[in-house]
Amino acid sequence: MKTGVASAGVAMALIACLSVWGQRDTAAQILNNTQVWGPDFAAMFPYFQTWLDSGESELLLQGDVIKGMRVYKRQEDADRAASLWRSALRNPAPNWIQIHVINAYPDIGYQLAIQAPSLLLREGLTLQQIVSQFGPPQQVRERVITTQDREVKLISLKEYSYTNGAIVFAVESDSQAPDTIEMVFLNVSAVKAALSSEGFR
Amino acid sequence: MRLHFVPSAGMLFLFGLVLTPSLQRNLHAALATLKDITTDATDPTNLADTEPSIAVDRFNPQRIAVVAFSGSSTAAVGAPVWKSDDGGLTWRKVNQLPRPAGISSLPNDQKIAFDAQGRLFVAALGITPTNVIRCYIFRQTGVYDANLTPGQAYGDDQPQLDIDASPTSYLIGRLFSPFLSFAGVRQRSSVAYSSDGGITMTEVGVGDNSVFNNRTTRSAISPYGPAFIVYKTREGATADPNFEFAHFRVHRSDDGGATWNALGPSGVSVHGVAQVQTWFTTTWGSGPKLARARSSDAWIAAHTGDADVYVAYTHRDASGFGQVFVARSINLGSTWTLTRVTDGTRHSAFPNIAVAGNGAVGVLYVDHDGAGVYRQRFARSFNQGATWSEETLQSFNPATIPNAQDGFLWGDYQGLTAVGATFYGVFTGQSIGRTITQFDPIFFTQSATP
Repeated sequence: MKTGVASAGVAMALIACLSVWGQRDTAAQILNNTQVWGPDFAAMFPYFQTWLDSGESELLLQGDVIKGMRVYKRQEDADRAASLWRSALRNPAPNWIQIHVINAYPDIGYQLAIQAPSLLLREGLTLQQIVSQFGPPQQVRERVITTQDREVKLISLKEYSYTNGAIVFAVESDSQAPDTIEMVFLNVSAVKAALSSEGFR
Repeated sequence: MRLHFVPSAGMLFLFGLVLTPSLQRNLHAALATLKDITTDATDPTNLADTEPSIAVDRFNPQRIAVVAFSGSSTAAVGAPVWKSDDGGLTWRKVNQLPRPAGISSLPNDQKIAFDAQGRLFVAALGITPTNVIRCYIFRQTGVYDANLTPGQAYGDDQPQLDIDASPTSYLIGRLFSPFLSFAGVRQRSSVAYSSDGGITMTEVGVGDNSVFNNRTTRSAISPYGPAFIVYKTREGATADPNFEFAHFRVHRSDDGGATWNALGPSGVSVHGVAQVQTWFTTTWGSGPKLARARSSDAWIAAHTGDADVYVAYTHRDASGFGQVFVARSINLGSTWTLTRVTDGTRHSAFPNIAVAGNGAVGVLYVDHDGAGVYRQRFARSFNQGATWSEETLQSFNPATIPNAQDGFLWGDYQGLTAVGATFYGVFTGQSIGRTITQFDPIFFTQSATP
């Protein structure tokens, strides 16, 4: 199966939906599992509504960075969204929760991002640990990212989807350590709803 | 479709002294020797291994190294370099490109080279989680197979790499890494250079982007020290959306990369004043799977024995097809003479050029038949580009190759170099001897003598 998905100038194809299994945990339980996330991840919880308000539908956690997948072609539009984001910032927020406008990649453009003081995922997190904690993924699929802008190689990700796609653990398809999870995609509205049910509004 | 060649039994003994059974060669017309670099054991996940580049240690041509998109590094495991220690008969995979601190994706664009001491270097593009592009020169600081050491971050998109390894050069050891800068209002062909093997890099804007964006930056080094880049100025759309108007310009640096105006501030157009129509498309080819050809239309090489410099580029001429042309300069780039390599019957692109020690010129390129079959072609000239003899290295239909990705296929470029009287190349082609038919990096050698 090959399904085309367009997102802010980045052409994506979701390929090869595999299997569906049962899962044990809710999105909120996964998001609160300290075996998975770095120590600063929970500080992000109050801001999913802000991400939603700024037009983001999907966030990517990678290393110590959480960034919106929306690509703004014009910097002034990204700056405006960042200003809105800042104005919605609740006090007292940790000092490091500051929204930045960064260059997009691989598209030419701009994205919003927050850089945390530490890794947002536990270092060395493996797929085996994920499955051990939460059961098998509901869906395993491949996402291919290309662009009309830069001459990048095809970015192919293998994705392991939980809680109806609210939380998607991912690894580069050609990784030399294919069991090591280095990225997580979060569906903003689904995560926001899950956290709201836990009292984060 | 020809994938490889099987010698006739009567002639087999003639080559038994120099070829192993696994190395396939067409004995009837002295065609190129092909070898799939990967095996089921070294490529167990059947990666496409696209956009390959090749380097040969000119002082020990048994040592050959190739990089391709054969796996991304992780925090613990480096990205691979393919290596042969026996002239290409056998290959091994060495994970020796570690991910530098702060980098989340590596490698992206990459190129490989040896220096005059036989040390290995790789230019590779990495990305941080905040989407900052950082190119690095990875240099050999220990034994040949040990992890390479990244130097200072530099550059932007599409890094290339050349190292002055000529004993006759006044700049031996100087390293050049052309790249395309997206930093300004218009994209600009730029060069980062280094006198310490990439530990420190100095960036210089080179291309004339006063009116037009630049693209397709490639470099070459004369054996006496002058360095060259070729690039295109993108001068607007043609009636055919697959082409654009352009000039292919050459700049020369005589001072190790600090300045590039030896041929004037705008360089020299190798084809003169008139514009060419060159490829700029994401739908190059025919059939259900197509290639990207936007930065795939020029290459430059220098003769290791004299001052000749050659540029290969594409141009849609009166034939109506995008064709491969070669320009030759005998005066360090001041003036150029042109010949057409291809025969005007098929669309052709992705030229890559090399000059052998005896002056023979080789051009690797791709064409297609308009019906979905692509050919990897190799042309040689033994008279300074005046006439060309061509052969098909391999033909294939990617529709039948599962890991051939529509919109990308082999990537932006392939690999070609020459040492002594031999051409060495690598292209993305149909696998040979693999359990599952797939794209693989196919190594080839061909003589530089008629």
